[in-house]
Amino acid sequence: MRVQTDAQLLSAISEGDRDALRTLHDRHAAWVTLRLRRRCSNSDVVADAVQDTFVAVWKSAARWDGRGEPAAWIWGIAIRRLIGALRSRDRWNRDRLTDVVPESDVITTAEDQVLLGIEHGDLAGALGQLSPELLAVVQATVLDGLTTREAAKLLGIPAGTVKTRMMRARTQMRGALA
Amino acid sequence: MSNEIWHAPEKLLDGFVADPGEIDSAAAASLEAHLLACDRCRGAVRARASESALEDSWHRVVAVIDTPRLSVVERVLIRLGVSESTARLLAGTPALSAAAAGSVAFVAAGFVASSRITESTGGFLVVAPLLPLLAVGAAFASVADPAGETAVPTPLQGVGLVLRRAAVILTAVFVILGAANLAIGGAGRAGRRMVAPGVGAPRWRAGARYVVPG
Repeated sequence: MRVQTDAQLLSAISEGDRDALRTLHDRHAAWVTLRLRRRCSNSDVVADAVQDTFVAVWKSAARWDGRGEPAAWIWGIAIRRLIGALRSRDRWNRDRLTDVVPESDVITTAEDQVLLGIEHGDLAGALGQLSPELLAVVQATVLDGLTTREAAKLLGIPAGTVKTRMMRARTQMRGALA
Repeated sequence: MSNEIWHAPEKLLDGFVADPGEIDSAAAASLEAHLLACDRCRGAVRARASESALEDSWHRVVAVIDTPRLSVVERVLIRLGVSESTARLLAGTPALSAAAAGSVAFVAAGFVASSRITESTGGFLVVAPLLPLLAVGAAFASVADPAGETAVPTPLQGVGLVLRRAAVILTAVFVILGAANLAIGGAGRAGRRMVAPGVGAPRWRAGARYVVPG
């Protein structure tokens, strides 16, 4: 049997092909679930988010613009669905971020590029020196590609706090990597 | 790109799949970014995942996408403030609505005919309001109700279900009687009275009024 690429699967899904969705789910649900689990310790909330994610893929596969990695697109949905799932569960639910960190790929600003375009070893060391609060912010905004407001929702802190923590993290990491 | 030559080592993958926390943040982040771009390593993660968990996850997705879209009738009912489950109940028994509408039409036709023939609607008016409700009662016979078997074990069955169905039938009665009123012209007032018991006016009063002058 010819193996379909994720992009082909998405276009089949946009035409209502359930088998294509099943294949896509089989390929991606495992890592998406694991990655969300690193951001939320409540497995029920994660299961809700994964469910919502693939339902959203089913409904809006046609909206994928065909550029870039389908996996990155799916992740973009998944992390936002996690925020939605957390909010609908309990606004003050504290079992959210358990773990943290950044890296390339989803980087948006040139500054982030400079900050993260560095050998993993050094980066790991620099990240290791950040406090958990700063790490959480770096992860949400840089690695997960969330906006300041989305990151604030995910972490349950004000948007202004996200900005100041991101600034402190940059300063601290520049120092560590210099 | 380095992805073409680099793939996540087995040990890193094992640590990632095991309960979160077994590998440090930087390693996990590095792997996560790699997974976005690498089919092969995603496959390796997939191969380490629990089949039953994936199966459960898939069934949860199917449960949502298989939920039928709301029909026009349901959407109209929900717009009118009917709860979603009640709308489903009412729209979900088309055979029943057809039968109910048919019986009401029959009653209305009888009303028109008797008023034309006897010039008096009194006797008929006493019976008429009961007939649609008879239809509601009959709807509970398992032969007549296609949804009967599923209705019996639900918490909605019983009085609540009777009332909901009665509401539907009375709505139909109003529409048909409105048309009937136009058809019989002068007897319009009587036609309106006929509906009175159905909307809560005491039956004895309605009966007394119509029977005595009749």
